Amino acid sequence: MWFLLRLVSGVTLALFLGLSSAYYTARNVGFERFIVSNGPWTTDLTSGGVDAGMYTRARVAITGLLALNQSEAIYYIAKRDSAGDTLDGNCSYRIEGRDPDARWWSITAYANDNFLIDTPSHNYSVSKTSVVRSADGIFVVRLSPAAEQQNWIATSPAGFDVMLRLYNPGTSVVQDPSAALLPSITKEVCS
Amino acid sequence: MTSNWLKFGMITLCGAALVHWAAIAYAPELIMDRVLAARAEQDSQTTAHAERATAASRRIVRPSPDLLYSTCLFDVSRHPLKVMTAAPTGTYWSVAFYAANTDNFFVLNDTQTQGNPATIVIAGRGQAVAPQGPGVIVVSAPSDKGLVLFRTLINNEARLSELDQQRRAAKCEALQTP
Repeated sequence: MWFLLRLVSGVTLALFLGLSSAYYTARNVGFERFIVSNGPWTTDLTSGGVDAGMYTRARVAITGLLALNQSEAIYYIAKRDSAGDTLDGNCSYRIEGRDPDARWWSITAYANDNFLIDTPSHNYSVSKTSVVRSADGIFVVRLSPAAEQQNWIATSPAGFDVMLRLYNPGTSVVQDPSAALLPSITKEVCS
Repeated sequence: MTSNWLKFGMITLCGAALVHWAAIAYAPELIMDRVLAARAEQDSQTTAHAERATAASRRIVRPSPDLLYSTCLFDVSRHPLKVMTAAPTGTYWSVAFYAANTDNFFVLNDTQTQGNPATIVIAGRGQAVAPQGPGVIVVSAPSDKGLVLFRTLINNEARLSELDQQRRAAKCEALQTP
């Protein structure tokens, strides 16, 4: 009886530890040397490609299934602002910069479950073709739960992150994604 | 007594490491398998043209609300698959092939075809493909089953209906082997 109890508890514990650590590492941790940072943004150079390692494949399957390989698109994700603080659904943020070097780009907010945030206005994203710029070419996009007049992406008080897609990125971005000119993310007001 | 607990702890940790490795190694194929099965439930024989993604779109994680997605399944265990792209005008479009382990093993976009539609044949490993017309690309799939994904960029909201119509020219059909 004692042996059976230990066997069941050991198997249960092993399953719990193994599955939870696998899910956590696949979702959150960049073990592999192919992950690069650029300000608040990070990207995995092998995402979607045939050179992806097992952790990258698992992460892509959970958080970005059917990603394109790097030659076609680069996907940056920001879970923190430019000061290094985790993006907070109760705060508003300003994303400011110039057009990244790519044929087309978009910035989209996602809920913690990796799907689009439920908002009646459908303000899910801002892109190269929809963003409003000032005369000097700089754009300011606002991330907040409350509506803004223009360049607004709705967020969720329950939490969110932001994805920057670069389709057909310029050669310099492909060669060194850590040096690409990307917009900053600055916290504004918290409720 | 202490030795027994130590042994128990070591065996449990080894088991946890094994479960961790298996989950990481097999998760992509299991998740992709679920996606392919769900897609097959709709209609495995034709090209499916998904509605524009909203918060209600829950099939694939992180959909782009700025793209129109069309898909077809491939199973090249018996016959190659002929993929004919649409050619939506004045915008980015691409066709991408995904293996059963989620790898994106082929992609072609409108710039590479100078805006013209393209025909690509997906062949299984070692599968003979009869000579095709000029310009037809033959690609060898690393797995028998997978997914073809067409993307069309909505670069102008006023053109949504037009682009939606244009992308529906994409289709996939089984190709008889020689």
